Amino acid sequence: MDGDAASRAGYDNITELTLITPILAGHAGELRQVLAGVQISHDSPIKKISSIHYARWVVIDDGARLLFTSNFDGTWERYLRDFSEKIPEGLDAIWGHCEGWPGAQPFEPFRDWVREHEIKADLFYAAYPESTVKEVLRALDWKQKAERFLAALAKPPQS
Amino acid sequence: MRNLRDNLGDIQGSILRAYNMPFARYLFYTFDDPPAGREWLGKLRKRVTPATVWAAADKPEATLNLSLSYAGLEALRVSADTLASFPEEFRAGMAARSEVLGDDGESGPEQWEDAFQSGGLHALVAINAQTSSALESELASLEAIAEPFEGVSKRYVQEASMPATGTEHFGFKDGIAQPSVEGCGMPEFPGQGTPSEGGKWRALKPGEFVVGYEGEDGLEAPGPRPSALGVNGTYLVFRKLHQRVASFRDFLRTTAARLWDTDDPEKVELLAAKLVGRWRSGCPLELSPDKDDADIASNPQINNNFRYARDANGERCPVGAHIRRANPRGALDETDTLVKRHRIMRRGLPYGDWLEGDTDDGVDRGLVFIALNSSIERQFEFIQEEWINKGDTFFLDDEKDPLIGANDGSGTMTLPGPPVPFVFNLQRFVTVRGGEYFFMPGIEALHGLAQGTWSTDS
Repeated sequence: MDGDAASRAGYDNITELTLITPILAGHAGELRQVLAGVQISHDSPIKKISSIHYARWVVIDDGARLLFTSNFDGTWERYLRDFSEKIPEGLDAIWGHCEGWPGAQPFEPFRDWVREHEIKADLFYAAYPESTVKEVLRALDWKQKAERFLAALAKPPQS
Repeated sequence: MRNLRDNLGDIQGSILRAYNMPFARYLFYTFDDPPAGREWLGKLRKRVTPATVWAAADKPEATLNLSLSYAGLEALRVSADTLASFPEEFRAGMAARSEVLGDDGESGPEQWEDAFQSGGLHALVAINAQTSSALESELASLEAIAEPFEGVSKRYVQEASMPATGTEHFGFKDGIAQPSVEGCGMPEFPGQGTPSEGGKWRALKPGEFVVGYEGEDGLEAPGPRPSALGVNGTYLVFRKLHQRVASFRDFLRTTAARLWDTDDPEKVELLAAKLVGRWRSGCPLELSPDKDDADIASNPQINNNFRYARDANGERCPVGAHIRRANPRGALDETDTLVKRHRIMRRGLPYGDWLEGDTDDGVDRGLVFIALNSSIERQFEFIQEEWINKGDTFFLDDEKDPLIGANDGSGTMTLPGPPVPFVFNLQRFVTVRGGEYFFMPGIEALHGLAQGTWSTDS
């Protein structure tokens, strides 16, 4: 993992992941339906992983392959373990349509499968590489509260 | 899946029970010759203390437990396939994991004692004893069968004993919170397991601490292959942690004076408790935030029965206090880490003489830290990297653990209460003098190793 992290493009605290995996013959339609059916809301399973800045799934090559890209806080191994332990059903529902999928649990075969299909970025840019998702959310929360406070102060006293 | 209770006789005792013995000696050996190493192992195996439940009257005077480093398994000529089936972090060894562990600067492996730098510590024999004479007599038995031994050399010895205060060297009662394990036959107390419904607690699944049993993920805790080598075993983390006691005491006085503008000793004690999360007696701040309470401290039905659920901002126990970081209990919701997957057994004991007075006397004193877990990476290393040396999980940005974190003199801690709710200038009060990762096999697996069952040259 150490050598792994050191060879990665970019930053200490934020990591990028790109994965391209072959879709099982005839499964592209079903996979598209699964992805279309996911509603991102405040209680979505993916919200259980508080380190994700962005994640996207794209069916490419006329349904031959699935592209997954994500940016997240912390190390590669930790991030994958979070996926495996917290939302294994979600992972199985998506990548179960790909070739060689070992299942999201146990962790070790899943990690090895991801390593096998991972493509390392040649260039990775982040505008705020020092700020984690938690820091950003907290800063936005403070900003909103400060603005409300200022707005309340600015109101003329009620007569 | 396997039933723990039926296998206690094959599991090494220190995994599942805190011996609570005030004397210990840790002996490290190197195998210079594979057949000699195996023969030595075969002799020692017979003295290994199992996890079999004993009645209070039958508690042994002394215990012996044995574990092997990755280099040790290599030196026993364990086959390449089997070696490769051990987890990465164990294969790498502790020195190579310094970046993950925050072992830099004064704690960096290049600063460690020579014996730990060379990577040649193959076997660890840990002897615990109720009295110093029991310790000596156990050592004599050890010497009678296996020392000196042609082809096996003793490389390093560490003594440890509980100071007369009954505390570690900073002056706190230690080792109070230990995970309870389902089916291990030990009494369970509230707060040791994982939070469950209605304010209750549930013992953790044995796979968190023993290879081959169901873990908290519902799966069998993985081990090396073939499985017979791994079953009933676990991983042991050994760290010799030097404590800068005079610096710590000085820091408490200076900082308390700055926070409250007084030299009132009660404020010094309050600050000490805020950094740790418990008063010196062991009484948790969460249950008694304003004053120490000996009745709470001494009652095992109460002294762990808290979960931070109604203290989100840390007004009672600071969010960054040592014990809240190391075991956040119910403080994290499920959008964060699963606390139950990141617990460790702690089996350490202080070393070195107690510091009288407040001036540094140059004596080496500290803690022999021992952690037991079925995955070093997921348990010990995770706690160390994510919870001790980072603050993000707790919305504490770059803050580190105030007591054992890798602070560089400019560390801060958010501390609700005083007029200025921050502690500044945190330094490294604890430095690493050396350490290694070990595998602690089941007793039958030790027999197999001694027989060369998994070796290539026998």
